[in-house]
Amino acid sequence: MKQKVFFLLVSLISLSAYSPAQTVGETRAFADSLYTAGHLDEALPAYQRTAFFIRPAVDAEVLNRIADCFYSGGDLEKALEFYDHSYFAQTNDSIKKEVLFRKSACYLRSHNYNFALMELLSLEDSLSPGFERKRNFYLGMTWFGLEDFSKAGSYFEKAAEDSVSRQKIKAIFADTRHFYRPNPKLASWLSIILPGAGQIYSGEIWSGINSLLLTGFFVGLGFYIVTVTSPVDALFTALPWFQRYYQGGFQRAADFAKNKRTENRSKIFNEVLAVIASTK
Amino acid sequence: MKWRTIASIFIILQAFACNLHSQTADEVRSFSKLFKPAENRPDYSLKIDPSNEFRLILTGGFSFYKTFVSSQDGVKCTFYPSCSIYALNTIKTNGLLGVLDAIDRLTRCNGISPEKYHIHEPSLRFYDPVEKIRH
Amino acid sequence: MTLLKRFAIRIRLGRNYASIQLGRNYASLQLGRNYASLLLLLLPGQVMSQNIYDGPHSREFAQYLMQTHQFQLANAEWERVLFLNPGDTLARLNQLKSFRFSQKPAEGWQKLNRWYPVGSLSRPFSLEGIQLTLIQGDYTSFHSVLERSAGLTSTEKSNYQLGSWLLEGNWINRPGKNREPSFAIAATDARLLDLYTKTKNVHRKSPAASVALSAVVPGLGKIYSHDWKDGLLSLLFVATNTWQSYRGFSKNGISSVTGWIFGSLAIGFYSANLFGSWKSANIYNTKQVDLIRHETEGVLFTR
Repeated sequence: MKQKVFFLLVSLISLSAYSPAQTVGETRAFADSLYTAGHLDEALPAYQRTAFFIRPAVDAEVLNRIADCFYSGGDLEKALEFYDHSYFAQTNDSIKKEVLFRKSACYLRSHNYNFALMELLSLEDSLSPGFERKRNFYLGMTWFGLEDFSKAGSYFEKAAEDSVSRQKIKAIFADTRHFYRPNPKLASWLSIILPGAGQIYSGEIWSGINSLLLTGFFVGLGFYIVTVTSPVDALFTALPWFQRYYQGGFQRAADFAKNKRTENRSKIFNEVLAVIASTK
Repeated sequence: MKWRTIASIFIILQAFACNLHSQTADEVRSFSKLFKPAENRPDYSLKIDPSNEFRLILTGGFSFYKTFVSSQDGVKCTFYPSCSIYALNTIKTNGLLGVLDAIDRLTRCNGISPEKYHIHEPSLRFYDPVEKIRH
Repeated sequence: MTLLKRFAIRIRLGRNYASIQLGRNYASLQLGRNYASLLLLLLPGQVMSQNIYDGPHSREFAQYLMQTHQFQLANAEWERVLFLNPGDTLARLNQLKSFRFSQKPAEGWQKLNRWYPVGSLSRPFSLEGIQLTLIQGDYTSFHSVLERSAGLTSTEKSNYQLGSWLLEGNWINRPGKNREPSFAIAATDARLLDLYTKTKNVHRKSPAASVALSAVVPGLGKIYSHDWKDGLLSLLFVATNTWQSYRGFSKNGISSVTGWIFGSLAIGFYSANLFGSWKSANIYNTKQVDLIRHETEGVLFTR
């Protein structure tokens, strides 16, 4: 009887040792489940907690996932920091390469194309076919950002998996002149010669007509004041306003052309992405 | 033993077949907005307020000015918010005194006294917001 | 196989005994009846990892988040610590700090009032309460904290009173001797006293005088308010429009369109200049207050 009571007591005490508690492993598993389900903003604090409590040990995968969470949340600076930590903690060569690509992606998204180029060029020369195509794709994007479109085109071609896609990309980059149209300088000069012409050249027809009418109004006003009163009055009244909107007109023409050119480039880039994505 | 060996080899091969470095279509498409031009959202509304004659004239005049005149103006205002938006807001906030405030703003819009103002970070212009006039 | 046998752990449970054997002959532990079962049953529990969401671990992680300036996350951690141990005063204090550093002094102040709605406040909570109220500019609450503070000396209270007086900025509207509050005598902080001395040398610009000056000579009021560049421009605007209006009227008489247009512009700019002069005097006064206020914040608000 005494023995049975003792065993019962011991069992009850032992059960308390099995009471629910969230260990590092469980936290990590929880974070992993959130990560897999795509809830990266919720996974982040759990991963940070895991990384804190396994110190001084370092888990490269945890660091990588923290970086992924920051990347997904748009905090590229923090993502870069953790991708760096992850890179130096990694022992697997393939994963190290993946981390470099992630770093490049961070630099690309923050428009630091030269830094992205540095990361990509730090990869070894001979890579597996999959990595080689990936590198070509990233280099294509980097050179596209650096506005060297012929180089970008050649890298995108190499990134395509089949000959049909390569032909399509070659056709897109065959004539690189359309990457530079409309030309902001040309738009500006057209508006200097004839107010509104630059805007029409850039595709902003109503703005061009508006500019022509507005500057025309002040020219007409100036002539009217000259005939009614004196040229001095026209100088002080109509001329400053004419100058303001005439100057504004050709500055706006250049701005419109620049925006239009950026939109065109974005469209072409998306065409290239569609071709490459269709082969995956 | 034979089946165990075959199963082990199969599992090992599968692990290597899980190609870590293949690029998916989603990854490629995730870069679709990389070179998209930044959206230029105006910080004012062109809506005409017909609630009374004064507001109708004020908001109608502002809309006309912004659409047909200011749209051709290349010289950006020294201040943030711009003088037209400042005028609209100060007249709405301060009534008749707002009219005087708006005209005074035009005389101040010259950029020769940078020490008087803080910089508005997003637009890099001098920050001169509308304030409620306390008598 | 030899290797496996060498390190095999065998646990045997008998009716009257329990034993653990490690390997063949390398180590073995034969235990008695009751103690063996205790050891066997508790061993897995001891081998289990620690709970990293308990009080001590949460506190450790919260302190790390404070050190790395992740104050919003730290706030959540301190909340957990307090949930597990509501009476933890150090955690309360740190949570108030995390509210302050994450630019949420109002929420911090609410928390403080919820924990200590009445009665005296200890020194750390008094200091925190002072900072939370002064950051918000809630001087009424600041005075109530000062009254309730048990851990501050009278000199320290005088220093804080002087600090709040400097922050509030009403001193500029008080001429001469009214700028000598009683607590200034008892204050000892050299930096605050230096700022207090500076306030005595600040001369307030009268908005009424500024308007009067601009009524006589457009722009003179702005020059009086140390805004000479805008003052000169205002004079230029009014003068040129007036001159143009005069030219128009002198040429074509009262029916002159340009005369009326420029005349209206001149009146508009003149009236606006009167308003602008009033505004520039007020801006000058506010700027003087802000200069003193910023330096006072540097003295009073600590990490």
